[in-house]
Amino acid sequence: MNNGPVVVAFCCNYCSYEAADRAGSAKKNYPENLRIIRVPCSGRVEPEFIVKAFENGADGVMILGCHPGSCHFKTGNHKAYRRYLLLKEILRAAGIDEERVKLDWVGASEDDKLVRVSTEFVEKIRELDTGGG
Amino acid sequence: MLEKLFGQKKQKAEQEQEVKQESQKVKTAFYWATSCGGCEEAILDVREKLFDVLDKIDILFWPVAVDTKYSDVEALEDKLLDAVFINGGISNIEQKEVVKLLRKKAKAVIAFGSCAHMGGIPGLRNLYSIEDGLERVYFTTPSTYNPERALPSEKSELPGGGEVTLPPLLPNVLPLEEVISVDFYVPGCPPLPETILKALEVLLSGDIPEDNVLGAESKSLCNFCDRNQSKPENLSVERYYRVHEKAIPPDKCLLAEGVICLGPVTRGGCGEKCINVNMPCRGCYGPLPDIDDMGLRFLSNIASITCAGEESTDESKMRDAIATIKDPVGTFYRFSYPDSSINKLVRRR
Repeated sequence: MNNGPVVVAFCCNYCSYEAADRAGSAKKNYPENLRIIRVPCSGRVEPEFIVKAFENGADGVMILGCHPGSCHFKTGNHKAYRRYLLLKEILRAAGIDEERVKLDWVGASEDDKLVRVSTEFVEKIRELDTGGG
Repeated sequence: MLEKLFGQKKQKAEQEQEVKQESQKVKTAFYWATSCGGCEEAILDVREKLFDVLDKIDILFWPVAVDTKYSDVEALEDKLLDAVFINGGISNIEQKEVVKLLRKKAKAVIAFGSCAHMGGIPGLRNLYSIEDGLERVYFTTPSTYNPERALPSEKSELPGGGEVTLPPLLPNVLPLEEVISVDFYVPGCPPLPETILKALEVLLSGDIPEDNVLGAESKSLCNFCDRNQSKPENLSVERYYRVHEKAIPPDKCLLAEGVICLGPVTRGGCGEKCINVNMPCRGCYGPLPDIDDMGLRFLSNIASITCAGEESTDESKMRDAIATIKDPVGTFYRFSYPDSSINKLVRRR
C-alpha cells in the first residue's frame, strides 16, 4: 500500500459497482487508492456521508451512479446530481476545494470508464495534495 | 424597656428571615458575548411575568443591566451560581475568558439564543479570514465611508496620554459548547417569551428532554404551519425566488412557491411568527433532534424538490434551477454554520 491519497467511491449497486466488479474479473488495473462503498443507489448518498468521509481522512470522494434515465429507482441519480451541485457550492464557500468531490455516470458494462474515471480522479487529488489545494 | 427589647428582637427575627429568603433565592448571572442585544430584549419581553420570577431570583452579574465587574464574579465561591444564561457566540479572547470564569462559578450553564446555541449569524464570518472580514466591514460595504481607513486595533494611544486595548478576535466564531460545557440550550433568535417561560418551567419541573433543548418542540415547524395543507403531494420547483421577487399568497406553502423556507428541518415552538407575516423560516430554532448538520440536511431537502418530476431528466434545467438559489451556504446555514460538520472540518485542518 502506498502513501498516496485515499479516495472513497460510492458505487451504486446496479451500475457502477457492477462495472467495478467487471473490471476486477477482467483483471483490469485501477488505483489501489480507491475505497469502494456499495450503496443501493447514488440517490442514497447523503451529503453527510461525503463530509463524514473527509472527516475520517479521505482526500477525495466520488459518487458513481447510473446514466440519466437508467436509474433502477427511476430518479435517484438525478437527486444525487442536484445534491452534488449544491454541495459543491457549499464546499467552495467553505474553502474546501470542490474538485475533491466528483460525480459521474458509469453504466454496468462500462468497466473501462470506471478505470479511466477513477485513475484520472486519483491523479487529480494527488495533484491537489502536492500543490496544496 | 421590655417592650423595646421585644421590639428589637422582633426586628432581628425579621432581618434574619429576610436574609434566609435572600439565600433561598436562585442565584443567576447573565452574560452576552457576540450578540446583537436581541436576547437581552427577549428577557425584557417576558414583561410583567418577569416580576414573578424576579422575586425568586438574585442577579449577581448582568453587564447589560446591572453594574457588576468581572472581579465581582471572580470573588464568588465556585459553583455558587445556580444558573448562568449566556447569549452570543464566542469570538474574542475576553469572551472566552469570561465564559470560562462563569463556568467555574456555575452549577448550570444555559446557552441562550441561536448564537450561543449554534454560532448564529455572526458565525458566517467563519467563511472568511479575519483580514477579509475586517476589510469588508470597515472599507468596502456600500454604506461605509471611511476615507482615513480607520481600523480598530488591539492597542490605541489616547491623544491625552495613556492607551486603550481591545481583546483580539479569535479566528472563528464558536458556539458556546465548543468553549465550555453547556448543560441546557434555549433556541431562538431571539427566544420567544413563551419559549423562555416554557424553558424555565421545564427546568424547574426537572422533566428535561434528552437533548437538553428547552422550550422548543421536537417536531418540525411544518407540523405547526397552517400553510402545510396547501403543499402538493409531489412538489417540484423549477425556479427559486427571494422574498422580494415574488408576491407570496398568504396561505400557500412557501417552498411550493419557490421561496426557500427552512421549516422542514427546524424545530417548531416559535409560534410561526415569520410564517404568519409571509416570511419564510430561516431556521433560528435550530435543527430537529435527529439532525446533526442542519444545512446539509436541508440541502438534501432542496435537492429532492428541485425539478423533481419523473419526466424532468434534463441536467441543464436542474443546473439552472439550482443556480436561482442565492447564497446557499448563507441561507441553509444562516444560524448554524459554526456548528456545521463542514465548518468543523475546515477548522480542524
